[in-house]
Amino acid sequence: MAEMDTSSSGGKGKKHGGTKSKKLSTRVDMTPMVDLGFLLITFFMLTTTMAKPKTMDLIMPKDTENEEEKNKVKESTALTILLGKKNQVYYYEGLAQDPNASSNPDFFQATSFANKGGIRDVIIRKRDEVAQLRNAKGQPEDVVVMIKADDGAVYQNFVDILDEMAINRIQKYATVDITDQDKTWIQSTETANGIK
Amino acid sequence: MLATKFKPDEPVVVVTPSSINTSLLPDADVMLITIDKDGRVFFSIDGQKKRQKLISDLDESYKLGLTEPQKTAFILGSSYGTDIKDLKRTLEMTPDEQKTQQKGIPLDSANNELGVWLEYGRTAQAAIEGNSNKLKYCIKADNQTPYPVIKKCSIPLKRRRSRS
Repeated sequence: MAEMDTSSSGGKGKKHGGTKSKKLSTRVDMTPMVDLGFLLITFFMLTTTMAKPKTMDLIMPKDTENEEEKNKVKESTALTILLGKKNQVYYYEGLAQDPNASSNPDFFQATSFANKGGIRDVIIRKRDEVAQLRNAKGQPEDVVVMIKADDGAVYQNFVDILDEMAINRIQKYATVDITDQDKTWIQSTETANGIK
Repeated sequence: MLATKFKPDEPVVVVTPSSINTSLLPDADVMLITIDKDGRVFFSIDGQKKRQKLISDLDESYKLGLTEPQKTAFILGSSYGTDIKDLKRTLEMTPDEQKTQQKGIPLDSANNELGVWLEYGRTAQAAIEGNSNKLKYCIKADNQTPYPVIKKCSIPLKRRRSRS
């Protein structure tokens, strides 16, 4: 396979020169190909890295009991996202501090993690809406997303929603404990949508 | 090639969710909390020196009575997820038994041993590296891990920087 081929030069200057066509060897020199093969193997062997898990930063707030140190979120800039079971996402605008809010049937909405028509569109819409508002100093307001995960939610949902925050460049978001009121809403929506 | 040793087997298979993030899990100065899909919690820290310090500290404070081979097993092992009082028994098991018999670190509010592990991990880091500022806390969980377990795990991590 990889020997030197010297036979092809033998035809010249022999007795039957001219009358008979030159006999060329059909053997191909494989040496360069093998060389290149080994070079590539070595190259890829040395440059590969094993698949490593990816990480994301998550900054947890300071655990404080002091009310003054806690940030207050305005009702108008808040978007609350709830994670339910079976990869369901629910959301409402504001913080639901007003007990009459739920009387509006459009208040509590269900959606999904779909790329189109899912929670991403909701976040973008709310973000752009809030950017129109001005705070006391006349600067644009930032949307604050409250993430509440129900007991039925799984880790994947949680990572997905944090991904959405990164994708949509939401600067302010917080994971908050779910309230009983939220749980009731999730339950009634699940019943209405037939999710068990 | 002949001299290399394989990385010790992780006790549980964890399928992590995909994410758009590109930052990699750091090689050094990291405490890893692994949670499998049933909610069992495992703890590990990198570096044999740190593991040695951690296990001798734990042995001393909890009077576990570990033998040298058991300590070596811990130092060379990977993640452990067991009651601290059951640690001696766990370290005697074969790797296959460890995979099935570990119940996970208890997280009840009365007996939150994850906090203990983190505290000892930080002490070990401080003893070996000088200070524990560089130490990262990573949570690695399965796609199907129920969220309440993640929440319980994050309680001892509050006030500290963590990665998931």
